[in-house]
Amino acid sequence: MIGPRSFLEYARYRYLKVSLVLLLASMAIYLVEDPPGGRSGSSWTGYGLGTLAALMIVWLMWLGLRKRSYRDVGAPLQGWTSAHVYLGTSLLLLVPLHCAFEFGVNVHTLAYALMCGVIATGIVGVGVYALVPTSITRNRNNTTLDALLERIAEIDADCRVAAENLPDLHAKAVITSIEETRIGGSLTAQLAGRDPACGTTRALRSLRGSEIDLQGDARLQELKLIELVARKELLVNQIRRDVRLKGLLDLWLVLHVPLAFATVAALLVHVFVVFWYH
Amino acid sequence: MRIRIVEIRTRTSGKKVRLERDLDVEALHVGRGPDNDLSLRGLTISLRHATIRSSDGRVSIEAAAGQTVAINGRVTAGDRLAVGDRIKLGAFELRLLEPVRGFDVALEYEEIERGDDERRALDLRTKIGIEHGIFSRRPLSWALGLAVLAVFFAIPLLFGGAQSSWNSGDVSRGHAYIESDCGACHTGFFRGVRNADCMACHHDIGRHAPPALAMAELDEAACASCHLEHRGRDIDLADLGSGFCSECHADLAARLPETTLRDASDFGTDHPAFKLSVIKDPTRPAESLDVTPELVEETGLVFDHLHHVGRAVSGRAVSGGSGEKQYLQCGACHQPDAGGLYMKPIEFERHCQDCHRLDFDPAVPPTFTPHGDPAVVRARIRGLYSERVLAGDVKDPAAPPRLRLRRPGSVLTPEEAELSRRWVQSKVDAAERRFYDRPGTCATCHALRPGEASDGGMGVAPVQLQTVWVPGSTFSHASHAPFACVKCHPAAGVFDPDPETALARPGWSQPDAIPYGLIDRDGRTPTSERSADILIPSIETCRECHAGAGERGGERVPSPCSMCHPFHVRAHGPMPGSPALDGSPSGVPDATPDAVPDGPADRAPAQAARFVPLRSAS
Repeated sequence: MIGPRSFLEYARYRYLKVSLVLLLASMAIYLVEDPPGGRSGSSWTGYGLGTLAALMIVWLMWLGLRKRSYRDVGAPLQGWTSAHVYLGTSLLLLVPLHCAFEFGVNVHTLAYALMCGVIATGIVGVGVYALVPTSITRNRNNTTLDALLERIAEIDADCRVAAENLPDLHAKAVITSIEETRIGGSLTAQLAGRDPACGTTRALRSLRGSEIDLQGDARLQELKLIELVARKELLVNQIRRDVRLKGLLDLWLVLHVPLAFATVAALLVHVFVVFWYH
Repeated sequence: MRIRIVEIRTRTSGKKVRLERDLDVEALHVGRGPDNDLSLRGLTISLRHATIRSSDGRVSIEAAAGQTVAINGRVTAGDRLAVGDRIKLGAFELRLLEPVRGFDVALEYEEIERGDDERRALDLRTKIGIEHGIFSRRPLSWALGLAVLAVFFAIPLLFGGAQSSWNSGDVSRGHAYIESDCGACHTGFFRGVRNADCMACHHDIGRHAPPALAMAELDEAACASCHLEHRGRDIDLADLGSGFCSECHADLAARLPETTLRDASDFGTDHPAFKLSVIKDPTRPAESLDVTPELVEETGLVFDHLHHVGRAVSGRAVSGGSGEKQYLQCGACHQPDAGGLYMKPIEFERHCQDCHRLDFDPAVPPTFTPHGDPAVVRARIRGLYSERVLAGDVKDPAAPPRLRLRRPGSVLTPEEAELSRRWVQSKVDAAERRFYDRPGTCATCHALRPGEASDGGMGVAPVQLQTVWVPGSTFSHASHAPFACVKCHPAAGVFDPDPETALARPGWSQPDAIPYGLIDRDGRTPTSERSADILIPSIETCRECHAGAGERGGERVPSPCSMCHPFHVRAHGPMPGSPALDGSPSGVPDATPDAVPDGPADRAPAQAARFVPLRSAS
């Protein structure tokens, strides 16, 4: 996991400076040129900034691909990420300079809107990367997801044994706890981080509310079962929090990447139409 | 009830073994509890789940209260059993067999659902990771990307009509009617809008400079390189800003030594004084002259504004015959043409005749001559009196009696003819004397030239009046209509109080303004008392209201070059690439006054040819 501070501050904000210089230069060129007919995407400045922006988009997508392949990374991973974030964000202003702030309801503005979506999800991603990994680490508490699942499986097996000689209510509660406890599931279920209809919670409630008066060994057996199910509930909720945090960590990317591809598609149409009808 | 129970157990090696035991019980109790005859593991099985009985060879099963069993897949509380039936109980399957000798019942059971590994079962119920199915990066990327290409590329390409999504912006108002027809302008793929595409409609769009200057970079430039479309309904395609013009015109003399144009870059701050097209000789075309205080025009006409506008005149004609004195308005003579750019030429018949009547014989009912060549006037008058003689209609008491008493239609004797000739000549002479001597007729406005007429008689000096003083601009009187004439032409509106009538000062008079060319010579209110005065306002007058194009937020009108100077001048011929050059009539350079008007000499014949028939007031 790359710490957000580390890649944002990479090489003393080298790529932030590069982006700012790029933007200032573009603004200066934009303001200085006053072509006949007024500023527009089809002035020389417009074509120049548009070409620059299009090349940057392609390059940034390649960077996105590049920074995921951990092998054979030519430059430090942090550097790629830093460049990706700062140069990508600079497109937010570079593209309006290209089109001289002319927008409309058309495929050209669609390309910009999609790109804004990419950048917005990217900014969310930076924020998520700043906050979520710490929460994940804290929630996991020095264990792993796999170990947590393994412990739940053990508890399930123990519950079956513990309920073997207990009344049907207890047996049913154990079945409910085992078979109706779902971890994860749909997108909303994963992002919710909890399940109000969780089988384990219901089983625990049913066991605690049991009115069957058990004696002797059966009573001890019942108490052991309640303790097992209660421990399972804690573990299940811990995993759900983990799933939620991981979902947040991934969600922006699931939007970021497809929006980027949609942007490139709209960009291709934009370039084709512009040169077809130039 | 003797019962043989066979357990089929699967070893870890996968091999199955049969374990038999025999029981003799009243009824076979089946359940999870250890006190059952047949105790089966599994929490889905009740402590006491079901009882199997046999009586008279009939076997039946009965579930405990609240429990069920599944016989051959059918869930029931209990039923009779037949050999071969399969009973599902928790993870186990019980099968009723044909009993061997000495037994009432034979039952075989097997754990058919393997005691699941809890972890594997948990993993099956666990779904972690938000990317599933279409909602994962790769499929979503393809889906979104292809959707964009389909909706915004393939469909418009195949079905054409949906190309509005390609429209980068509204076209200007003038082109709005063809906005949905992309092919109207974009006639080919990947080649842009060519000049011929524009000129399919704008076929007579003119060059910027005369072809002789061969300014290819202007005249052969792509229309679309200056006129950028798709930037909104209210964008003026022709407004390129003054910066565009000043690129060349700020130092034109250095770029184009042969030019006669002076440098200009901004109307407010860097624009030469107007050069006026002034008539210095009525027989020759107007000359383009710099304005000096001494500059006067020489039109051949005697006229002054003071006597016509500044002083009250008889209202006989003006007010419809009431006879009261009043001031003439400028509009009595100066009327804008249909386009509103210039004033119509001043014509005697239209503007003068109402007051300055060309009647020549008070003895007969009012009779007027045409206005024009004195020889024609004489011939017309002579003809008129000759007709009277021939018609026997001479009533003049001074005429010879033989003419007065002639029978109409009879042939003139030589004597009568001589009498007639003398009488007609005397009438013509009398009429001419009236014209030349009486105030308000010919000599009032024209310089007389005895013997210079085409018939050798009295002639008048040639006259030529100017109507377009600044031919290089497209000044429009119509767009300045809200303002009084005297705001820009003050000397024409000087007021001279009439002591006789004590008429109120006309609203339009403006006695204290400084007129052009009459810079307050003696500290008096300037006025125009001579026809030679030029009353065209100077650039300073324009600048009272018009600022340079760059001025924003002020009270004056920001005025780009194009406000007065068209870039495309039809008089220079059509732009290259125009279909008009293929020989259609519209390709002929058009010298209508709304482009660059030619000198007045070209229009003079048209004015002279205008024929107004002799008319008699009835």
